[in-house]
Amino acid sequence: MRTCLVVDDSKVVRMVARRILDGLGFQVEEAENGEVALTFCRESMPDVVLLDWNMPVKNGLEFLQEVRALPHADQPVVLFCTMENDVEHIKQALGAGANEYIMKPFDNEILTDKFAQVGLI
Amino acid sequence: MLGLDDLLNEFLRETTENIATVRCAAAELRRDPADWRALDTVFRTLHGIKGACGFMRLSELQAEVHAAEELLAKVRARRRAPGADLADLVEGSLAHIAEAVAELGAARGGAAEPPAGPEPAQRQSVAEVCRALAPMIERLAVELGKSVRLVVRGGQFEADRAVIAVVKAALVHILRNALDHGLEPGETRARFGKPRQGTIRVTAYDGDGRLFVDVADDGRGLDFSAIRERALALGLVGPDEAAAMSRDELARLTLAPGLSTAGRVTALSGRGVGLDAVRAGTESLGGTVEVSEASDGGTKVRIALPLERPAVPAEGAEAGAEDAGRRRGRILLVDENPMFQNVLAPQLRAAGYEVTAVRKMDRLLSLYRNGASFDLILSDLEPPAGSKTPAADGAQTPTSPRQAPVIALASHEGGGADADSEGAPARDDKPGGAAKGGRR
Repeated sequence: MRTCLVVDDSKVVRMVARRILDGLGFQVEEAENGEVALTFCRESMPDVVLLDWNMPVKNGLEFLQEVRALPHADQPVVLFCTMENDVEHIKQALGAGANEYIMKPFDNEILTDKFAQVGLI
Repeated sequence: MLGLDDLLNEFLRETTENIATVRCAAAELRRDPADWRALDTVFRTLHGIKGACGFMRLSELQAEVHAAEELLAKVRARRRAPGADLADLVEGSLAHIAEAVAELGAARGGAAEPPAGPEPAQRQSVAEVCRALAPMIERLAVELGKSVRLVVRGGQFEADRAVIAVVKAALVHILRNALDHGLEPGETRARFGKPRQGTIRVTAYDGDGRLFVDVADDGRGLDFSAIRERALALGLVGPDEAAAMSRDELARLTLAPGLSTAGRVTALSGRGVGLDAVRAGTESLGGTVEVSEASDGGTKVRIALPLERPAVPAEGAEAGAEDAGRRRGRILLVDENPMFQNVLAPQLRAAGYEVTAVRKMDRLLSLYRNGASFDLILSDLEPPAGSKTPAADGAQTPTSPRQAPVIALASHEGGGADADSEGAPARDDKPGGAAKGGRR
Protein backbone atom coordinates (compact mmCIF):
# COMPACT_ATOMS: atom_id res chain seq x y z
CA MET A 1 0.00 0.00 0.00
CA ARG A 2 1.39 3.39 -0.90
CA THR A 3 1.76 6.10 1.69
CA CYS A 4 0.63 9.70 1.46
CA LEU A 5 1.82 12.20 4.03
CA VAL A 6 -0.60 15.08 4.53
CA VAL A 7 1.23 18.16 5.83
CA ASP A 8 -1.07 20.90 7.05
CA ASP A 9 -1.41 22.78 10.32
CA SER A 10 -5.18 22.55 10.04
CA LYS A 11 -6.62 19.32 11.35
CA VAL A 12 -9.78 20.07 9.40
CA VAL A 13 -7.81 19.99 6.16
CA ARG A 14 -6.00 16.83 7.23
CA MET A 15 -9.31 15.15 8.05
CA VAL A 16 -10.79 16.00 4.67
CA ALA A 17 -7.65 14.86 2.85
CA ARG A 18 -7.56 11.64 4.82
CA ARG A 19 -11.11 10.86 3.90
CA ILE A 20 -10.43 11.30 0.20
CA LEU A 21 -7.07 9.50 0.24
CA ASP A 22 -8.52 6.55 2.16
CA GLY A 23 -10.92 6.17 -0.71
CA LEU A 24 -8.05 6.24 -3.21
CA GLY A 25 -6.40 3.37 -1.37
CA PHE A 26 -3.52 5.23 0.26
CA GLN A 27 -2.15 4.72 3.70
CA VAL A 28 -2.47 8.20 5.17
CA GLU A 29 -0.05 9.80 7.60
CA GLU A 30 -0.32 13.31 8.99
CA ALA A 31 2.12 16.03 9.96
CA GLU A 32 1.17 19.43 11.37
CA ASN A 33 4.15 21.34 10.07
CA GLY A 34 7.22 21.03 7.85
CA GLU A 35 9.47 20.04 10.71
CA VAL A 36 7.34 17.07 11.72
CA ALA A 37 7.01 16.14 8.06
CA LEU A 38 10.77 16.22 7.54
CA THR A 39 11.36 13.95 10.53
CA PHE A 40 8.81 11.57 9.10
CA CYS A 41 10.49 11.61 5.67
CA ARG A 42 13.92 10.93 7.17
CA GLU A 43 12.58 7.85 8.94
CA SER A 44 10.38 6.48 6.21
CA MET A 45 9.97 8.23 2.88
CA PRO A 46 6.34 8.41 1.83
CA ASP A 47 5.34 7.96 -1.83
CA VAL A 48 3.58 11.29 -1.96
CA VAL A 49 3.31 14.43 0.12
CA LEU A 50 0.33 16.76 0.08
CA LEU A 51 1.96 19.98 1.24
CA ASP A 52 0.46 23.13 2.72
CA TRP A 53 2.38 26.37 2.33
CA ASN A 54 1.68 28.55 5.37
CA MET A 55 2.59 26.67 8.50
CA PRO A 56 4.22 27.59 11.77
CA VAL A 57 7.63 26.18 12.78
CA LYS A 58 8.63 25.17 9.27
CA ASN A 59 6.65 26.20 6.21
CA GLY A 60 6.07 24.32 3.00
CA LEU A 61 8.88 25.95 1.07
CA GLU A 62 11.45 25.21 3.75
CA PHE A 63 10.29 21.61 3.93
CA LEU A 64 10.52 21.27 0.17
CA GLN A 65 14.07 22.62 0.01
CA GLU A 66 15.23 20.30 2.76
CA VAL A 67 13.45 17.19 1.57
CA ARG A 68 14.92 17.66 -1.92
CA ALA A 69 18.38 17.85 -0.36
CA LEU A 70 17.98 14.38 1.13
CA PRO A 71 19.31 11.30 -0.74
CA HIS A 72 16.82 10.06 -3.40
CA ALA A 73 16.01 13.62 -4.28
CA ASP A 74 13.25 12.51 -6.65
CA GLN A 75 11.25 11.15 -3.73
CA PRO A 76 8.59 11.81 -2.68
CA VAL A 77 6.14 13.20 -5.20
CA VAL A 78 5.10 16.55 -3.76
CA LEU A 79 1.75 18.15 -4.46
CA PHE A 80 1.75 21.66 -3.15
CA CYS A 81 -1.58 23.10 -1.97
CA THR A 82 -2.35 26.76 -2.35
CA MET A 83 -5.38 28.91 -1.78
CA GLU A 84 -4.60 31.77 -4.12
CA ASN A 85 -4.04 31.59 -7.81
CA ASP A 86 -0.75 33.35 -7.36
CA VAL A 87 1.55 32.63 -10.29
CA GLU A 88 4.69 33.76 -8.47
CA HIS A 89 3.84 31.56 -5.55
CA ILE A 90 3.23 28.53 -7.74
CA LYS A 91 6.40 29.16 -9.74
CA GLN A 92 8.38 29.35 -6.52
CA ALA A 93 6.97 26.03 -5.32
CA LEU A 94 7.56 24.26 -8.62
CA GLY A 95 11.05 25.77 -8.75
CA ALA A 96 11.80 24.35 -5.32
CA GLY A 97 10.86 20.89 -6.47
CA ALA A 98 7.10 20.49 -6.13
CA ASN A 99 5.71 18.17 -8.81
CA GLU A 100 2.30 19.76 -9.08
CA TYR A 101 0.04 22.17 -7.31
CA ILE A 102 -3.54 21.90 -6.13
CA MET A 103 -5.98 24.65 -5.32
CA LYS A 104 -7.62 24.62 -1.91
CA PRO A 105 -10.27 23.68 -1.10
CA PHE A 106 -9.88 20.42 -2.99
CA ASP A 107 -12.42 17.65 -3.15
CA ASN A 108 -12.46 14.04 -4.23
CA GLU A 109 -12.64 14.85 -7.92
CA ILE A 110 -9.87 17.46 -7.92
CA LEU A 111 -7.52 15.32 -5.88
CA THR A 112 -8.21 12.20 -7.98
CA ASP A 113 -7.53 14.17 -11.18
CA LYS A 114 -4.24 15.55 -9.87
CA PHE A 115 -3.09 12.16 -8.62
CA ALA A 116 -3.86 10.70 -12.05
CA GLN A 117 -2.01 13.57 -13.73
CA VAL A 118 1.23 12.84 -11.87
CA GLY A 119 0.82 9.11 -12.46
CA LEU A 120 0.02 8.10 -8.90
CA ILE A 121 -3.18 6.34 -9.85
CA MET B 1 -15.06 6.61 8.12
CA LEU B 2 -15.25 10.11 9.42
CA GLY B 3 -18.63 11.67 9.78
CA LEU B 4 -19.44 15.21 8.73
CA ASP B 5 -20.31 15.84 12.33
CA ASP B 6 -16.78 15.03 13.48
CA LEU B 7 -15.48 17.36 10.85
CA LEU B 8 -17.75 20.19 11.94
CA ASN B 9 -16.80 19.64 15.57
CA GLU B 10 -13.16 19.76 14.65
CA PHE B 11 -13.71 22.86 12.56
CA LEU B 12 -15.40 24.63 15.48
CA ARG B 13 -12.65 23.60 17.85
CA GLU B 14 -9.85 24.57 15.50
CA THR B 15 -11.38 27.86 14.51
CA THR B 16 -12.14 28.87 18.07
CA GLU B 17 -8.53 28.16 18.92
CA ASN B 18 -7.32 30.08 15.88
CA ILE B 19 -9.45 33.06 16.85
CA ALA B 20 -7.88 33.05 20.30
CA THR B 21 -4.45 32.90 18.67
CA VAL B 22 -5.17 35.91 16.49
CA ARG B 23 -6.50 37.80 19.51
CA CYS B 24 -3.31 37.16 21.44
CA ALA B 25 -1.23 38.23 18.46
CA ALA B 26 -3.31 41.38 18.13
CA ALA B 27 -2.63 42.14 21.78
CA GLU B 28 1.07 41.76 21.18
CA LEU B 29 0.81 43.98 18.15
CA ARG B 30 -0.92 46.62 20.18
CA ARG B 31 1.98 46.77 22.57
CA ASP B 32 4.67 46.56 19.98
CA PRO B 33 3.61 47.77 16.54
CA ALA B 34 6.90 46.56 15.09
CA ASP B 35 6.37 43.00 16.26
CA TRP B 36 6.51 41.31 12.85
CA ARG B 37 6.21 37.87 14.40
CA ALA B 38 2.82 38.78 15.85
CA LEU B 39 1.76 40.26 12.52
CA ASP B 40 2.92 37.14 10.74
CA THR B 41 0.88 35.03 13.16
CA VAL B 42 -2.19 37.17 12.48
CA PHE B 43 -1.91 36.70 8.74
CA ARG B 44 -1.01 33.03 8.83
CA THR B 45 -3.76 32.16 11.28
CA LEU B 46 -6.43 34.15 9.44
CA HIS B 47 -5.33 32.37 6.30
CA GLY B 48 -5.73 29.07 8.11
CA ILE B 49 -9.24 29.98 9.25
CA LYS B 50 -10.11 30.90 5.69
CA GLY B 51 -8.72 27.64 4.36
CA ALA B 52 -10.73 25.56 6.80
CA CYS B 53 -13.88 27.54 5.94
CA GLY B 54 -13.27 26.67 2.30
CA PHE B 55 -13.18 22.97 3.06
CA MET B 56 -16.34 23.27 5.11
CA ARG B 57 -18.02 25.08 2.20
CA LEU B 58 -18.75 27.99 4.50
CA SER B 59 -18.41 30.45 1.68
CA GLU B 60 -19.92 33.40 3.52
CA LEU B 61 -17.58 33.06 6.47
CA GLN B 62 -14.71 32.41 4.11
CA ALA B 63 -15.47 35.63 2.27
CA GLU B 64 -15.60 37.45 5.58
CA VAL B 65 -12.18 36.20 6.64
CA HIS B 66 -10.85 36.99 3.20
CA ALA B 67 -12.16 40.56 3.48
CA ALA B 68 -10.45 40.90 6.85
CA GLU B 69 -7.21 39.63 5.37
CA GLU B 70 -7.38 42.03 2.46
CA LEU B 71 -8.17 44.99 4.67
CA LEU B 72 -5.24 44.20 6.93
CA ALA B 73 -2.94 43.64 3.98
CA LYS B 74 -3.90 47.03 2.57
CA VAL B 75 -3.33 48.78 5.84
CA ARG B 76 -0.02 47.04 6.25
CA ALA B 77 1.07 47.86 2.71
CA ARG B 78 0.24 51.53 3.08
CA ARG B 79 2.14 51.65 6.32
CA ARG B 80 -0.33 54.27 7.30
CA ALA B 81 -1.31 52.41 10.40
CA PRO B 82 0.74 52.02 13.48
CA GLY B 83 0.32 48.65 15.16
CA ALA B 84 -2.38 49.82 17.51
CA ASP B 85 -4.68 50.64 14.60
CA LEU B 86 -3.90 47.32 13.04
CA ALA B 87 -4.71 45.60 16.32
CA ASP B 88 -8.04 47.44 16.41
CA LEU B 89 -8.77 46.30 12.89
CA VAL B 90 -7.89 42.73 13.71
CA GLU B 91 -10.13 42.76 16.75
CA GLY B 92 -12.95 44.44 14.88
CA SER B 93 -12.87 41.84 12.14
CA LEU B 94 -12.46 39.02 14.59
CA ALA B 95 -15.50 39.99 16.59
CA HIS B 96 -17.66 39.14 13.60
CA ILE B 97 -15.86 35.99 12.68
CA ALA B 98 -16.00 34.79 16.28
CA GLU B 99 -19.69 35.59 16.43
CA ALA B 100 -20.39 33.67 13.25
CA VAL B 101 -18.46 30.67 14.53
CA ALA B 102 -20.23 30.78 17.89
CA GLU B 103 -23.56 30.90 16.07
CA LEU B 104 -22.57 28.00 13.92
CA GLY B 105 -21.70 26.10 17.07
CA ALA B 106 -25.02 27.05 18.61
CA ALA B 107 -26.97 26.22 15.46
CA ARG B 108 -25.47 22.79 14.91
CA GLY B 109 -27.32 19.97 16.60
CA GLY B 110 -30.01 22.35 17.76
CA ALA B 111 -31.90 22.11 14.50
CA ALA B 112 -31.53 18.59 13.19
CA GLU B 113 -30.96 16.28 16.14
CA PRO B 114 -31.75 17.67 19.56
CA PRO B 115 -29.57 15.62 21.89
CA ALA B 116 -31.38 13.63 24.58
CA GLY B 117 -28.78 14.63 27.13
CA PRO B 118 -25.76 16.88 27.04
CA GLU B 119 -23.09 15.23 24.90
CA PRO B 120 -19.78 15.02 26.71
CA ALA B 121 -17.87 16.28 23.67
CA GLN B 122 -20.04 19.39 23.62
CA ARG B 123 -19.15 20.36 27.15
CA GLN B 124 -16.01 21.55 28.75
CA SER B 125 -14.79 22.29 32.24
CA VAL B 126 -14.66 25.97 33.09
CA ALA B 127 -11.60 25.56 35.32
CA GLU B 128 -9.78 23.92 32.44
CA VAL B 129 -10.41 26.91 30.22
CA CYS B 130 -9.22 29.37 32.87
CA ARG B 131 -6.05 27.40 33.48
CA ALA B 132 -5.35 27.09 29.79
CA LEU B 133 -4.94 30.87 29.69
CA ALA B 134 -2.11 30.85 32.22
CA PRO B 135 0.72 30.45 29.67
CA MET B 136 -0.55 33.40 27.67
CA ILE B 137 -0.69 35.53 30.81
CA GLU B 138 2.79 34.49 31.83
CA ARG B 139 4.17 35.36 28.41
CA LEU B 140 2.39 38.69 28.44
CA ALA B 141 3.68 39.46 31.91
CA VAL B 142 7.25 38.78 30.88
CA GLU B 143 6.88 41.02 27.85
CA LEU B 144 5.39 43.79 29.94
CA GLY B 145 8.10 43.40 32.54
CA LYS B 146 5.52 42.71 35.23
CA SER B 147 5.27 39.96 37.75
CA VAL B 148 1.87 38.41 38.24
CA ARG B 149 0.27 35.57 40.15
CA LEU B 150 -2.80 34.08 38.50
CA VAL B 151 -5.08 32.39 41.01
CA VAL B 152 -7.87 30.28 39.57
CA ARG B 153 -10.59 29.09 41.89
CA GLY B 154 -13.73 27.06 41.30
CA GLY B 155 -15.00 26.18 37.89
CA GLN B 156 -15.32 22.48 38.68
CA PHE B 157 -18.32 22.22 36.43
CA GLU B 158 -18.96 22.09 32.73
CA ALA B 159 -20.65 24.40 30.30
CA ASP B 160 -21.66 24.23 26.69
CA ARG B 161 -18.82 24.70 24.24
CA ALA B 162 -20.40 27.69 22.58
CA VAL B 163 -20.63 29.34 26.01
CA ILE B 164 -17.08 28.30 26.83
CA ALA B 165 -15.83 29.84 23.60
CA VAL B 166 -17.31 33.18 24.62
CA VAL B 167 -15.93 32.86 28.16
CA LYS B 168 -12.50 32.15 26.77
CA ALA B 169 -12.53 35.10 24.41
CA ALA B 170 -13.80 37.36 27.19
CA LEU B 171 -11.15 36.16 29.60
CA VAL B 172 -8.41 36.86 27.08
CA HIS B 173 -9.59 40.46 26.89
CA ILE B 174 -10.18 40.93 30.59
CA LEU B 175 -6.95 39.31 31.74
CA ARG B 176 -4.94 41.24 29.20
CA ASN B 177 -6.57 44.42 30.40
CA ALA B 178 -5.88 43.63 34.02
CA LEU B 179 -2.27 42.86 33.31
CA ASP B 180 -1.57 45.69 30.92
CA HIS B 181 -3.59 48.49 32.47
CA GLY B 182 -4.70 47.35 35.90
CA LEU B 183 -1.51 46.11 37.50
CA GLU B 184 1.17 48.71 38.11
CA PRO B 185 4.83 48.03 37.43
CA GLY B 186 6.68 46.42 40.33
CA GLU B 187 8.47 49.62 41.40
CA THR B 188 5.24 51.58 41.50
CA ARG B 189 3.59 48.91 43.57
CA ALA B 190 6.52 48.85 45.97
CA ARG B 191 6.24 52.61 46.42
CA PHE B 192 2.61 52.19 47.46
CA GLY B 193 3.57 49.49 49.90
CA LYS B 194 2.07 46.74 47.79
CA PRO B 195 3.81 43.47 47.02
CA ARG B 196 5.82 43.82 43.82
CA GLN B 197 4.03 40.87 42.37
CA GLY B 198 0.47 41.65 41.32
CA THR B 199 -2.35 39.18 41.74
CA ILE B 200 -5.19 38.40 39.39
CA ARG B 201 -7.89 36.18 40.79
CA VAL B 202 -10.22 34.29 38.51
CA THR B 203 -13.16 32.80 40.35
CA ALA B 204 -15.72 30.70 38.52
CA TYR B 205 -18.96 29.48 40.02
CA ASP B 206 -22.42 28.51 38.90
CA GLY B 207 -25.91 29.11 40.14
CA ASP B 208 -29.42 29.34 38.71
CA GLY B 209 -28.32 27.78 35.45
CA ARG B 210 -25.79 30.55 34.96
CA LEU B 211 -22.07 30.56 34.96
CA PHE B 212 -20.21 33.43 36.63
CA VAL B 213 -16.59 34.31 36.21
CA ASP B 214 -15.08 37.08 38.33
CA VAL B 215 -11.71 38.50 37.40
CA ALA B 216 -10.28 40.75 40.09
CA ASP B 217 -6.89 42.40 40.11
CA ASP B 218 -5.13 44.20 42.95
CA GLY B 219 -3.93 46.96 40.66
CA ARG B 220 -4.41 50.70 40.54
CA GLY B 221 -8.16 50.52 40.07
CA LEU B 222 -10.34 52.70 37.91
CA ASP B 223 -9.53 56.32 37.24
CA PHE B 224 -12.95 57.76 37.97
CA SER B 225 -12.21 61.34 37.05
CA ALA B 226 -10.84 60.26 33.68
CA ILE B 227 -13.93 58.13 33.03
CA ARG B 228 -16.15 61.09 33.93
CA GLU B 229 -14.24 63.44 31.63
CA ARG B 230 -14.28 60.99 28.79
CA ALA B 231 -18.01 60.30 29.15
CA LEU B 232 -18.64 64.04 29.13
CA ALA B 233 -16.44 64.55 26.09
CA LEU B 234 -18.30 61.78 24.25
CA GLY B 235 -21.65 63.26 25.20
CA LEU B 236 -22.71 60.04 26.92
CA VAL B 237 -23.79 62.08 29.96
CA GLY B 238 -24.48 65.73 30.66
CA PRO B 239 -22.39 67.83 33.09
CA ASP B 240 -24.93 67.63 35.93
CA GLU B 241 -25.47 63.96 35.46
CA ALA B 242 -21.72 63.34 35.37
CA ALA B 243 -21.15 65.24 38.59
CA ALA B 244 -23.87 63.27 40.35
CA MET B 245 -22.70 59.85 39.24
CA SER B 246 -21.59 57.37 41.89
CA ARG B 247 -18.43 55.34 41.58
CA ASP B 248 -20.51 52.29 40.74
CA GLU B 249 -22.22 54.14 37.94
CA LEU B 250 -18.93 55.44 36.63
CA ALA B 251 -17.49 51.94 36.73
CA ARG B 252 -20.37 50.75 34.58
CA LEU B 253 -19.58 53.46 32.07
CA THR B 254 -16.32 51.71 31.18
CA LEU B 255 -18.49 49.29 29.25
CA ALA B 256 -19.93 52.06 27.12
CA PRO B 257 -18.63 51.56 23.62
CA GLY B 258 -17.23 55.01 23.02
CA LEU B 259 -15.24 54.71 26.19
CA SER B 260 -13.86 51.32 25.60
CA THR B 261 -13.16 51.03 21.90
CA ALA B 262 -10.72 53.78 21.28
CA GLY B 263 -7.07 53.07 21.91
CA ARG B 264 -6.53 56.58 23.21
CA VAL B 265 -8.80 55.86 26.13
CA THR B 266 -6.08 53.61 27.42
CA ALA B 267 -3.88 56.58 28.07
CA LEU B 268 -6.73 58.58 29.51
CA SER B 269 -8.52 56.24 31.83
CA GLY B 270 -6.07 53.45 32.07
CA ARG B 271 -8.85 50.98 31.44
CA GLY B 272 -11.34 49.89 28.93
CA VAL B 273 -9.59 48.38 25.96
CA GLY B 274 -11.81 45.74 24.48
CA LEU B 275 -14.41 45.77 27.23
CA ASP B 276 -17.14 46.53 24.75
CA ALA B 277 -16.00 43.52 22.73
CA VAL B 278 -16.37 41.44 25.87
CA ARG B 279 -19.81 42.84 26.35
CA ALA B 280 -20.88 42.21 22.77
CA GLY B 281 -19.67 38.61 22.90
CA THR B 282 -21.31 37.95 26.23
CA GLU B 283 -24.59 39.56 25.29
CA SER B 284 -24.74 37.58 22.08
CA LEU B 285 -25.39 34.52 24.23
CA GLY B 286 -27.72 36.25 26.63
CA GLY B 287 -25.08 37.10 29.21
CA THR B 288 -23.99 40.23 31.07
CA VAL B 289 -20.79 42.00 32.05
CA GLU B 290 -20.27 44.14 35.13
CA VAL B 291 -17.33 46.26 36.12
CA SER B 292 -16.82 47.34 39.71
CA GLU B 293 -14.15 48.22 42.23
CA ALA B 294 -12.49 45.25 43.83
CA SER B 295 -12.44 45.14 47.62
CA ASP B 296 -8.71 45.88 47.70
CA GLY B 297 -8.91 48.89 45.41
CA GLY B 298 -8.30 47.06 42.16
CA THR B 299 -10.84 46.32 39.49
CA LYS B 300 -13.31 43.51 39.24
CA VAL B 301 -15.02 42.36 36.07
CA ARG B 302 -17.81 39.83 36.30
CA ILE B 303 -19.18 37.98 33.32
CA ALA B 304 -22.36 35.95 33.65
CA LEU B 305 -23.64 33.59 31.00
CA PRO B 306 -26.26 30.89 30.74
CA LEU B 307 -24.62 27.46 31.15
CA GLU B 308 -26.47 26.27 28.09
CA ARG B 309 -26.49 27.96 24.73
CA PRO B 310 -29.77 29.65 23.89
CA ALA B 311 -32.14 27.68 21.69
CA VAL B 312 -32.87 30.74 19.55
CA PRO B 313 -30.02 32.20 17.51
CA ALA B 314 -28.31 34.98 19.41
CA GLU B 315 -29.37 37.81 17.16
CA GLY B 316 -32.97 36.70 17.31
CA ALA B 317 -32.79 36.61 21.07
CA GLU B 318 -31.34 40.05 21.24
CA ALA B 319 -34.05 41.49 19.08
CA GLY B 320 -36.78 39.19 20.32
CA ALA B 321 -39.21 39.05 23.16
CA GLU B 322 -36.67 39.38 25.96
CA ASP B 323 -37.26 43.05 26.43
CA ALA B 324 -40.92 43.10 25.57
CA GLY B 325 -41.69 44.54 28.99
CA ARG B 326 -39.62 47.66 28.62
CA ARG B 327 -39.68 48.45 24.95
CA ARG B 328 -37.05 50.75 23.62
CA GLY B 329 -36.29 51.46 20.01
CA ARG B 330 -35.07 48.44 18.13
CA ILE B 331 -32.75 49.17 15.29
CA LEU B 332 -31.58 46.83 12.63
CA LEU B 333 -28.28 47.81 11.13
CA VAL B 334 -27.41 46.30 7.78
CA ASP B 335 -23.91 46.96 6.57
CA GLU B 336 -21.31 44.60 5.26
CA ASN B 337 -18.41 46.64 6.54
CA PRO B 338 -17.48 45.34 9.99
CA MET B 339 -15.53 48.45 10.87
CA PHE B 340 -18.50 50.62 10.12
CA GLN B 341 -20.74 48.38 12.17
CA ASN B 342 -18.26 48.53 14.99
CA VAL B 343 -18.43 52.28 15.00
CA LEU B 344 -22.13 52.75 14.51
CA ALA B 345 -23.65 49.95 16.56
CA PRO B 346 -21.96 50.95 19.83
CA GLN B 347 -22.99 54.58 19.34
CA LEU B 348 -26.58 53.57 18.89
CA ARG B 349 -26.44 51.23 21.86
CA ALA B 350 -24.95 53.98 23.96
CA ALA B 351 -27.91 56.13 22.97
CA GLY B 352 -30.18 53.50 24.47
CA TYR B 353 -31.26 51.54 21.44
CA GLU B 354 -31.29 47.84 20.96
CA VAL B 355 -29.17 47.21 17.94
CA THR B 356 -29.06 44.10 15.87
CA ALA B 357 -26.30 44.22 13.32
CA VAL B 358 -26.29 42.00 10.29
CA ARG B 359 -24.06 42.03 7.30
CA LYS B 360 -26.03 40.16 4.73
CA MET B 361 -29.51 39.93 3.33
CA ASP B 362 -29.99 36.29 4.19
CA ARG B 363 -29.36 37.00 7.86
CA LEU B 364 -32.02 39.65 7.78
CA LEU B 365 -34.57 37.27 6.36
CA SER B 366 -33.75 34.60 8.91
CA LEU B 367 -34.26 37.16 11.66
CA TYR B 368 -37.69 37.95 10.35
CA ARG B 369 -38.51 34.29 10.12
CA ASN B 370 -37.57 33.98 13.77
CA GLY B 371 -40.12 36.60 14.60
CA ALA B 372 -37.87 39.60 15.15
CA SER B 373 -39.24 43.07 14.57
CA PHE B 374 -37.60 46.45 14.33
CA ASP B 375 -38.62 50.04 14.73
CA LEU B 376 -36.03 51.31 12.32
CA ILE B 377 -33.76 49.83 9.73
CA LEU B 378 -30.47 51.50 8.88
CA SER B 379 -29.18 49.94 5.75
CA ASP B 380 -26.14 50.28 3.58
CA LEU B 381 -26.94 51.23 0.03
CA GLU B 382 -24.10 49.23 -1.40
CA PRO B 383 -24.69 45.59 -0.75
CA PRO B 384 -22.02 43.00 -1.46
CA ALA B 385 -21.75 42.04 -5.10
CA GLY B 386 -24.36 39.58 -6.19
CA SER B 387 -26.94 40.35 -3.57
CA LYS B 388 -29.86 42.67 -3.60
CA THR B 389 -29.98 45.97 -1.80
CA PRO B 390 -31.24 45.19 1.68
CA ALA B 391 -32.86 48.57 1.91
CA ALA B 392 -35.13 47.67 -0.93
CA ASP B 393 -35.66 44.00 -0.57
CA GLY B 394 -35.33 42.88 3.02
CA ALA B 395 -37.15 45.55 4.90
CA GLN B 396 -40.30 45.39 2.91
CA THR B 397 -40.39 41.66 2.52
CA PRO B 398 -43.87 40.22 2.99
CA THR B 399 -42.57 38.05 5.84
CA SER B 400 -41.79 41.15 7.85
CA PRO B 401 -44.19 41.36 10.76
CA ARG B 402 -43.86 45.13 10.90
CA GLN B 403 -43.19 47.65 8.25
CA ALA B 404 -40.23 49.44 9.73
CA PRO B 405 -39.02 52.75 8.32
CA VAL B 406 -35.75 52.48 6.48
CA ILE B 407 -32.89 54.93 6.43
CA ALA B 408 -30.38 54.22 3.72
CA LEU B 409 -26.77 54.99 4.49
CA ALA B 410 -24.48 56.24 1.77
CA SER B 411 -20.97 57.53 1.94
CA HIS B 412 -21.09 59.56 -1.26
CA GLU B 413 -23.36 61.51 -3.52
CA GLY B 414 -25.47 59.77 -6.08
CA GLY B 415 -26.99 57.03 -3.98
CA GLY B 416 -30.14 58.90 -3.11
CA ALA B 417 -31.95 58.18 -6.31
CA ASP B 418 -31.32 54.48 -5.90
CA ALA B 419 -32.61 54.49 -2.38
CA ASP B 420 -35.81 56.28 -3.34
CA SER B 421 -36.48 54.03 -6.25
CA GLU B 422 -35.89 50.93 -4.22
CA GLY B 423 -38.26 51.77 -1.45
CA ALA B 424 -36.12 53.39 1.23
CA PRO B 425 -37.92 56.50 2.38
CA ALA B 426 -35.04 58.47 3.76
CA ARG B 427 -31.35 58.70 3.26
CA ASP B 428 -28.50 59.78 5.43
CA ASP B 429 -24.81 60.14 4.91
CA LYS B 430 -22.19 58.20 6.80
CA PRO B 431 -20.98 58.77 9.37
CA GLY B 432 -23.23 61.59 10.51
CA GLY B 433 -26.16 59.34 9.80
CA ALA B 434 -25.47 57.60 13.03
CA ALA B 435 -26.35 60.57 15.14
CA LYS B 436 -29.39 61.59 13.13
CA GLY B 437 -30.79 58.12 12.84
CA GLY B 438 -29.95 57.20 16.37
CA ARG B 439 -31.54 59.96 18.41
CA ARG B 440 -35.09 60.99 18.43
